[in-house]
Amino acid sequence: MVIFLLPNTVFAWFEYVTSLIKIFLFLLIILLSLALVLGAGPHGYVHHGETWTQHPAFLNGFAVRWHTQVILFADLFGVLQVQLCWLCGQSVIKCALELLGEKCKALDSRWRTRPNLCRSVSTSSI
Amino acid sequence: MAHATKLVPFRVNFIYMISIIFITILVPSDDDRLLGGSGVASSPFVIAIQDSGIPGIASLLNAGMMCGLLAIAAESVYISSRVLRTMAHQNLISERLAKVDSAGRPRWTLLITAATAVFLGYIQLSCKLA
Repeated sequence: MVIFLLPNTVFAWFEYVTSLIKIFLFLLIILLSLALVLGAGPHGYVHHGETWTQHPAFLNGFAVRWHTQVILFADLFGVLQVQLCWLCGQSVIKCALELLGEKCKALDSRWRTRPNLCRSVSTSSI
Repeated sequence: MAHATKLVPFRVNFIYMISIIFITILVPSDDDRLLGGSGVASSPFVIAIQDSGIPGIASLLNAGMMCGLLAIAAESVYISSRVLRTMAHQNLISERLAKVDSAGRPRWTLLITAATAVFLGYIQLSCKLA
């Protein structure tokens, strides 16, 4: 609550700094995870040319069930689909806004060429 | 659309998805520590680092996560209080709640949000003790 007793700029700076920390933390986690997969650390997993299903994380009977894998891949596919929809939706909205902008421009020029229609509109706003 | 908004799908895909994929490779799903079997609910990232035996990094990650949690808690209080204030502006709740102090902070909505957060926090604590 202390942060809300200070000016709003303090809150903004706090959010900025913590967001940076979060981003760098995630990047560190990704790099560290890659190193751990490859066997980093004193107790790191030593690789002997085995497949990925033979790694310790998959030796609990979780990975051998084919339907579980299918569900996981379907889930991942669903997430990617949502991302794709986001991008498509973004372009559709952009196109719609551009079309609306052109329509407004056309309407605007029509109004400008016919000043009689603008009687009720304040001249200062044109 | 703003540049930051355009980056959201890429950020989610790159940062979150890759780290989740890595963690599924590193930590077994039946690890006791994941579900708090050892008495403390651990983060899978911390478990993976503890298993590898690298000293110091687990504490660094925990410190970073505490910063992240603090930021998320502050964001939640900020957003909820501003939503309450907007509702007050729209006459959905009492207009008195829309008042701000000299620095522009909606103190009444902040107070309500903080009180609700503390109340919900205590409910969760009592559930754990039971």
